Amino acid sequence: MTKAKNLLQPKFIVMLIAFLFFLILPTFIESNYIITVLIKCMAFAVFGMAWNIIGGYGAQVSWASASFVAIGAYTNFIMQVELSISPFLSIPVGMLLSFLFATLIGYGTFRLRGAYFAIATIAFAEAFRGVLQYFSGLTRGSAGMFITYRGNNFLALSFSNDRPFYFIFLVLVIISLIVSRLFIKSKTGYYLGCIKGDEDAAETLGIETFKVKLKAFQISAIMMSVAGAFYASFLTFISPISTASFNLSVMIGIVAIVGGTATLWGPVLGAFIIVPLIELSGVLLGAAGASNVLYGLLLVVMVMFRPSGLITILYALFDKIKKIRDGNRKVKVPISVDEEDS
Amino acid sequence: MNYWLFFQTLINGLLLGGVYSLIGVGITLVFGVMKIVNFAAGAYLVWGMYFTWVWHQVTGWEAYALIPLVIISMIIFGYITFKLTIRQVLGSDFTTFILITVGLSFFLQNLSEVVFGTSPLAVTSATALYSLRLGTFVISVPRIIAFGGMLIFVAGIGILLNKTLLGRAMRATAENAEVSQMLGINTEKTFTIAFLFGIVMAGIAGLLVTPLFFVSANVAETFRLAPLVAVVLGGLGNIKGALIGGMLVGVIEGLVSTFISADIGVAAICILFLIVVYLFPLGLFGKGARKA
Repeated sequence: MTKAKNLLQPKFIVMLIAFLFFLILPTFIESNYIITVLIKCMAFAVFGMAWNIIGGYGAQVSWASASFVAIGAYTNFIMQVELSISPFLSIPVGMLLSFLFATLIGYGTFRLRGAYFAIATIAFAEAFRGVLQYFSGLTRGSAGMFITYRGNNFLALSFSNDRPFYFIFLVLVIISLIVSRLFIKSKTGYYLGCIKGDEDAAETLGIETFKVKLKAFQISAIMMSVAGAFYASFLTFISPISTASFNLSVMIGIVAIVGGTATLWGPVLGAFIIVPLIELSGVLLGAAGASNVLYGLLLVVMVMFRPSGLITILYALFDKIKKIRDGNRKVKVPISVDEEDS
Repeated sequence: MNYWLFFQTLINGLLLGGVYSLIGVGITLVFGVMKIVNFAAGAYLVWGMYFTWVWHQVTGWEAYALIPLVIISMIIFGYITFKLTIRQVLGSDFTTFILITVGLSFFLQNLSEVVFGTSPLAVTSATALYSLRLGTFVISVPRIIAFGGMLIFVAGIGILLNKTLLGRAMRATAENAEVSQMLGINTEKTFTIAFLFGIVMAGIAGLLVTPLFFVSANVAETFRLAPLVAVVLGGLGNIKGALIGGMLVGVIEGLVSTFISADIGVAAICILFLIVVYLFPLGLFGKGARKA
């Protein structure tokens, strides 16, 4: 199939319409609150996609997502407050730092299999929160850091209202989708799929499983820190408890799992379900306690009854529509002799 | 260096490490038999603390006298949660169990907050005030009891595993679940019993720390990581390893917290964990499983 024909596929037309819809959506929304909710949805979509790279495609569960978000957020704020450096220049620093920390976590644990990596991510997350508190000269410790409004300045990511962040995160979602797509279709992506399917077999085929897993985790961490830097500028306040918490890491995992792990659109769907749910339950049940009970239950129930995520319901629906559409030109399939082979 | 402070910290760390050991032995036992790493042990510990508080309110007895009641409560509570969740997905891959036990931990920890409220509760205890003097060192009695209680429970588990028919069935299941089943061992029952042992040990750890900590859902965070690290240090599935690993973690955390900063204590454990995993993937004592 040629490139031009590819672009005329219904899938791409739907995506183009969806993009245009989200592009003009803010002009119809008066309420600033709804805009912030939409921004959070998109931010969590990006976090979810980043988690999905290692947690979904690689089935290596990471609970350190919030730490990488915090790395991006804190490098952005510290460099902006102490040195007045634009976030766009501090983001590469955050990317480098998250790359290094991801390597540190993965270097020993990816040689092994099973829960070692998950335990290491929990250890790192708790340690990193402690480190943020220890260097309170730079990070202001548990009091957290503020960023003040400095007039409308795109380079400082400072705006008089939240609307510009809507478009920034729309771009980030699209970039993340493209990165995810490129990753799955890359050699590393296919290798990772092999490892997820059968690590022994992958090793026998000569795949260096350690390197592949490490690379995926590094990509995931870098994505997380970039999104974290923008998210911090949007929030204007970060603290070890709000930004580097275990709760945030679990929430990011839940976004991907509810939507559908190891699918391109799963985390996006998950974010647009979970974030409004967070807002709603925050009003109805209170921010902590009862809401978190709900999310814990959601995670357990999803893993038990629909581990492939809600997006597979949509996929099944599409398949059904396709079958109904194709029903007219149904061909009678002859019964094959070696049926059990199929 | 201040030698008095060093040895005092060493003793305190060792005794708190005993609690990590108790939880760790539970985790490692469950792993040995079922090949599941239970990330929810910290949350079960919190429920053990709350059960202690509830029974203390009802009976007015000293916390240590409540051990049988708390064990029964934990068995019932653990059985319900196990039956509804993990039992349903037995035979899945390890990722499923990581997700499900983390979800369970998130659920149970916050459930305790919803049921009992956010304000910390206290189990009043007469022994909490006593301390022992050993030369110039001061050792609080609840810490000694916690450590002693841990040793008794771990020894009990050791006897159970080595001397009884149930223990033999559990060891056989740990070795090879499929063959054990063919030989007539009810592996599902063994799994259930092993998991309940893990939960009861976490619950008892909760009871033993009530004189040291306020009863609150946040305690789960203190005990989330250290036992897991202890288990890996000792080698997954290695009970003696978890025992020593817990004390090691307690001592290192205590020393770093005292001499550098309490914020960095966890970072030291994390670095220790990463080094051990890199250099000794089978655990410091070399009997653990490489595949978790």
